[in-house]
Amino acid sequence: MTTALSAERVGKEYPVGNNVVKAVDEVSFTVESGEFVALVGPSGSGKTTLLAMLAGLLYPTRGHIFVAGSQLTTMKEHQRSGFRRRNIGFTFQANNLVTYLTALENVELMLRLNNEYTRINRKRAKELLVLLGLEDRLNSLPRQLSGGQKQRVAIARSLINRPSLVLADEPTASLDTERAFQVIETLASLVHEQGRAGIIVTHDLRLVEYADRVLQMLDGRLARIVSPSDDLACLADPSLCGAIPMDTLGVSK
Amino acid sequence: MSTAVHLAFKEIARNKGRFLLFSLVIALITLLILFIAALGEGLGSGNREYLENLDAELIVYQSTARLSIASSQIDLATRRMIRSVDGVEEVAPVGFGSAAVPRADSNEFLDVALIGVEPGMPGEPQAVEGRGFERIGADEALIDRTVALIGELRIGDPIVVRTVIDGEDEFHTLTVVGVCDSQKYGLRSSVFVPKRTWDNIRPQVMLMGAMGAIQPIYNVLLINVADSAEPADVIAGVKSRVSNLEIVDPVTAYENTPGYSEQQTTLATQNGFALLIGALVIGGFFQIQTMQKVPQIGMLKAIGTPNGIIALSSILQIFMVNLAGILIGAAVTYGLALVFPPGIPIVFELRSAAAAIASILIIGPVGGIVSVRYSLRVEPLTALGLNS
Repeated sequence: MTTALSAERVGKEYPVGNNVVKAVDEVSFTVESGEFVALVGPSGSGKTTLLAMLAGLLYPTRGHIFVAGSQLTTMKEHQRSGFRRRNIGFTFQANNLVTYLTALENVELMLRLNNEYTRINRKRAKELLVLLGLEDRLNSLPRQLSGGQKQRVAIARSLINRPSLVLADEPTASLDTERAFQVIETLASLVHEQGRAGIIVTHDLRLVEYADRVLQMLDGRLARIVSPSDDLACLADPSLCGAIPMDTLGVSK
Repeated sequence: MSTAVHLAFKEIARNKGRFLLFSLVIALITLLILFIAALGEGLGSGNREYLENLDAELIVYQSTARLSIASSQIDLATRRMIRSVDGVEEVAPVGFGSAAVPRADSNEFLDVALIGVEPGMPGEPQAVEGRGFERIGADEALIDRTVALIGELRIGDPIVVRTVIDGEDEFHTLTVVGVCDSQKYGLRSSVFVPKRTWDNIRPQVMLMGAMGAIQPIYNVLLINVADSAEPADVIAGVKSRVSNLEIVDPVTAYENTPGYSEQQTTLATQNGFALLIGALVIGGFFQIQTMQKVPQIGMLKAIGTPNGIIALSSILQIFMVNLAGILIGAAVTYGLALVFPPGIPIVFELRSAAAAIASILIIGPVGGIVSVRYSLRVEPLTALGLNS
């Protein structure tokens, strides 16, 4: 396996009045290709800010981020935009799809943006949607799709360009439990099968069973890294767990 | 480019109602602007048409009239003096008065400009049907197309001309011998009569000449300059021989007609405001739409859509919606123009209509610039619910 993502002492600070708030503080870790990682933590712990920096949507105040061997933190805005288009797949919590494009057109949009809108790739987009159980929804507009179907279309779009890194920001937040499990299971299995690196931000600790590792954020810091096979009780109640030595945090599974 | 076109077309195709509404608003603005332009053209040509079409190079006014034809009075003695000036090829008197002729569609009368001209001389319009005048005292009339249309008059028909003399209506029956193209003057269609007939119809415009003889007076004289002479030299020659005259070319004449420039300025201002309102309305529509799409634009940027595609897509939409609105507006305007009754001073002239349409084509993108700029400033972070 190769390292798809490497975060080195990444930090993000915001000035608030005369003070400085550390939204993310000295976070280091790596994710390998074919690995699916869950990023958990309470609201305000810095999960989404960290995800935004990993995606190149936000410049870190300090530290370095490497995706597929390229350092995101030294790229200019238009370079990061192009890099995201080619190397990073996204699934958001909401507003994932272009409302006036059908499911298939939404997936094909990534092909168009990357000048890869060929017959073979169009066929691949269709196959991906079929694989995700949307064979009878190819020509449906987002408003005609259920929440789970929309998220599956977003997953297809995030994978169609064969990105090195797939990021998902609470993709199950608006779904019922059954659909949430379906979506995560699908995303995890595709990440594993296609050898991508995947990071999912979630509040729902029941969903981490599909992850290879779980990264817990607390107050902007990476508090611990656990395996889903470990006792997850400490994720729900951090006081139940002992401190994880910091020098283990940057080591992948 | 193709992705921007794809996005622009798909959004319009899947939101036809909304974009049609935009286009209809632009169509109404187009209708308004074209009508103001047509009204400007109609009022302008209604004031200047006869002077603009004159086959004369110079117009001679009484200087105290300040280029007001109605106020100018020139007698035939002045004409004789001008005729002897070097470089003057032709000089002809023209008299202007008010009259009315019966309408065919009602018992009402149509107000017309009654213009007395000398047969075969500058001032007599070219007949496009029938013939011109042959005798200065013939009871004949040359009418413009609008008079022919409203009065349902043909060559050889009698035409009753009503004038008011000392507060009393007087009726004169003439024979239509010719029809000319529209020759409006003072916002009225024209009826031309030979100068002696005009003298008879308008007897109050006489003055006592030398030795107590009554002699007719006219409003202006028209001069054609010989090929070998320069108009400026002729003007100088005339002024050296006759004082109390003002001599200008036809363009200067109608541009300085009292009220003409004020009227055109007013209409141009109205047009400018209509365009400004149009730009604001179009800009407002697209701004509201862009604000509604902020989360989606953020998502598009987050997945790596370049700003150029987002901007181009917006500009294409603005252009297409604008074009559709203009086409609808122009078609409706054309349809209305076909059913407009003759005599109303609305003239759809290709040049002014094209200028109005070009203005609307420009104001669309100008109005939409704010929304395009706004969409470019949307942060991709909004897709994650964050702000920078």
